[in-house]
Amino acid sequence: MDQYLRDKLLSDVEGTCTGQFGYIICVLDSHQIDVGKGRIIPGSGMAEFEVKYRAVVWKPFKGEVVDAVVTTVNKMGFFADVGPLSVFVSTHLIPSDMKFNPSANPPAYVSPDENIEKGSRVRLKIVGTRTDVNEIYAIGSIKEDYLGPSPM
Amino acid sequence: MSELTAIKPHQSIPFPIIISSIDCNIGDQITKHFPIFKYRYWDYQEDPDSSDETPIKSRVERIGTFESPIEGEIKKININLQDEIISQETELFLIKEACNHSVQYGGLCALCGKSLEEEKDYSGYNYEERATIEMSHDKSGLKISFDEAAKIEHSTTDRLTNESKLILVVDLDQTVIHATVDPTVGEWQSDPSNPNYKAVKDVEKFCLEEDPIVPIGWTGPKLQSTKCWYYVKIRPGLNEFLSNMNELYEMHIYTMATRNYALAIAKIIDPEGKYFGDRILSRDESGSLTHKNLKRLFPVDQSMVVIIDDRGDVWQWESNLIKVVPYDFFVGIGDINSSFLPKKSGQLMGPTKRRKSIAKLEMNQEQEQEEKQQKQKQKQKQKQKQQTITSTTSPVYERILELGGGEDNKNLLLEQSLTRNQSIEQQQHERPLAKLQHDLEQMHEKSSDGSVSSEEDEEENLLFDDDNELQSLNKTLENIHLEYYNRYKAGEQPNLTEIIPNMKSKCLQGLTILFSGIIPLGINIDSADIVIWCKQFGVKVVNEVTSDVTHVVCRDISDDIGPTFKARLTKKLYPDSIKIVNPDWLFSCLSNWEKIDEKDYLISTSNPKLWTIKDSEIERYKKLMEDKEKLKDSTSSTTTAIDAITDFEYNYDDFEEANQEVDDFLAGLTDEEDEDMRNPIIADEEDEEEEGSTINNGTNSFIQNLYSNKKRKMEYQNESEEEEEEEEMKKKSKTNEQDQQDQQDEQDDNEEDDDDLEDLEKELLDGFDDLNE
Repeated sequence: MDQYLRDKLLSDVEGTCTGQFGYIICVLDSHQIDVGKGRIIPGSGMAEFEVKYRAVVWKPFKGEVVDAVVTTVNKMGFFADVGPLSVFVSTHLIPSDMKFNPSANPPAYVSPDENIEKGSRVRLKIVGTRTDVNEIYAIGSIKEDYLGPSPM
Repeated sequence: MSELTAIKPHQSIPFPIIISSIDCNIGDQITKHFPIFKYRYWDYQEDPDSSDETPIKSRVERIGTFESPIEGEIKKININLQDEIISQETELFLIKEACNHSVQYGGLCALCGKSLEEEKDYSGYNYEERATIEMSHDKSGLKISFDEAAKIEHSTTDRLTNESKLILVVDLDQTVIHATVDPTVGEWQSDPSNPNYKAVKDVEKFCLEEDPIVPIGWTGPKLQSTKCWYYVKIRPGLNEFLSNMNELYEMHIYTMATRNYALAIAKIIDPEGKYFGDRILSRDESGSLTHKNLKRLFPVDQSMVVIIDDRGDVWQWESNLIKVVPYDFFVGIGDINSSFLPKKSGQLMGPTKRRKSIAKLEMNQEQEQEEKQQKQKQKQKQKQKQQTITSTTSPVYERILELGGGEDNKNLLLEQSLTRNQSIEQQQHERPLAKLQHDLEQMHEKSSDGSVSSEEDEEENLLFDDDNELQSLNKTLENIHLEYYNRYKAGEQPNLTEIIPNMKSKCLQGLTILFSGIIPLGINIDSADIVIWCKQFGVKVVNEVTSDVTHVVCRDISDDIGPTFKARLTKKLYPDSIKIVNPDWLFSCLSNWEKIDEKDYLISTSNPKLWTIKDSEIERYKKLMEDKEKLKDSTSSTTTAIDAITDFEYNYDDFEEANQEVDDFLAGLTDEEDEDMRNPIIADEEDEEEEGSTINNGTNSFIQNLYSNKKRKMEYQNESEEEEEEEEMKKKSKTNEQDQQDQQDEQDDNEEDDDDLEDLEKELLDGFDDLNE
């Protein structure tokens, strides 16, 4: 019974995103989770359990500098993944010497000495976030010192 | 970011208002909700002191304040004290904002990172209206403003001009590839002894795992995903075509298929991604399920875009479109990804197959389908009457069209994927290819038993690799590119939306074509695909045999199917000036963009008997034409009646059926030779009917024959009813309700009739044999 509830908790909660705490990365002490006493809901055969658990969570904040992997590049900017979070960096927040080159394969932002394409690593600063019920949107910028493509 | 934002009064303001004081100056930094000005307005109020039950309303003056919906620096004030403002469209102030939020992602401004969702408040000002255009190929939720889109497009245009390229939007299914899920192909591929082995050995296949379709409200266990094998035949010469086009065009894929499918196909036709890159737009991102829209990809400027597609209707015959002849490799399969689009059954879609036997097979299949559809319709009718629920039993695609436009409509999506899955399942199950091959073999057996015919030297394979559309398309696209850059060099601002229609309309100018036995009865010729296609090329399409006609297009004839009435008439009346050709001629003209020599396409037969036509028939036809001329003069007075009828047809749950029933009804009249009282409203369809009625004395296309025979039979059954109807016609006092009643009655009879249809067909065939002897 306890085992079932623990498994259920892990599958329901791990890897999801809540507006309050951000992403729930990993539930801790999964073997010693405190499963409270169950309570049968009147009128149906179902039971309700209150479970307390500790978890590693991550919530992106405005101003945070993170490392990300580029996933899509288009003419309006690029998307980069920071773990579970997808961050959009608009052309306006890319240094103006980096130009979009759609004929490159894959498409890329290129400057004389640097290159951003799908799969490259970039260091970016989160300039704004918005949390939906179970989703987080974020905007990033690489138009500042020490931001931009980072060596492998 | 230097643009100024104009502030307009919000719609909740009670117009008219008069400015009473302005509380700010140019150059002031204002915050959100800063009161910019005060105004006076008037309202009607009930007198609170009155003791009446309905107090008299009196006009009172009130004062309101206008708050700035945004923050920034005031740059210009357009109003003065005592000004009266009467509409929302007045620009009150110009404000320079720190950021004008022209790129938005998931409710965030992508420029300053501000959450625009949270900025919403009582002022009703909505930042999201500023960025409404979704321009990227994928579904990322990225939206930009019109100005921003224009800016991006401008830079694209500049870049393309520098590279002297244009943009080419490519459709997948039946344009560059043909796909099927019929597992027969896989079997043929692994069996070198199969007659089709040669044709299918280079067919590519891939497997897609598709998520199960979960009905709305489903709470049960997760359904297993289904695997489905797709077999893809690449159109001959595609590789060469793509590499040529890559020099001249930047290519995009725009398909009605799912994203996974589109990616899989792209992997096959462009393994390195050098032609299309990630410029792939599929149904998942398209925003509309029944139409393709160029504005989705190029919201501002379409002057450099060329589209190639096998269906014009999904693009609403956009002027940038070059319609190509559909690639139909797997005979009888059609487009597996368009099952939710309006069906085009019975219409002439592509050139007939090079070989007669296959053409014949196709025709048989078509007929079978038609019969099936008829039966289904009848069944549906029955159901409908029992349940009197129209919306749930009408054909699926109509439902989709009804719902159409609702992009995020879950029901719709579900419905549509269901239809698609159904058709795919059906295909996997029924194996139409195997069936056709079987039929073909049978046919060969028959023919080899009998006389030694020309079919002997044909191979016994169903699939045949004989398409050369891409070569001519290549040439056309090169010409367009040349024309565009010639004009550009001449200092003009070329626009393909003008150049393409212009080039097209010159190609076949001067031709006047009459279609005979090609466009199904009951379909308005102006809405038939082939007619629209022809008209774009400057071809005039007419419906009657006159001296203006240059070509008559009709199906190939064989011993059992003679030429149509109009073809015979033409042969008799204008043997030299009018050429009678088969549809292939038209298709080669359309794909080559020039008039092709008719020599190879002329319709001829060794049996001159088939061309005979009785003088009485000619006389009758002429008389009919004269009558029609007279009627045309009087049609202007009956236009309201036409409107009424069209309205009625739209209300009707099944358009085609309604049409057909009108036809049936009319046929009854013509057969009784009541020509005088014919209704002018349906003048367009009349000659077709005439064709139908002449079958009594001659041979005509098979389908028409079947059709009219059915009508005649029905006529016997409900003669009395028809007489009633005739009277009504004479009075011309039909109301819609009555009409519906009549039609319903007819449906009853139709249902009974249909069971006899197969018997009838047999009878007819026998009749033909007699005639040919």
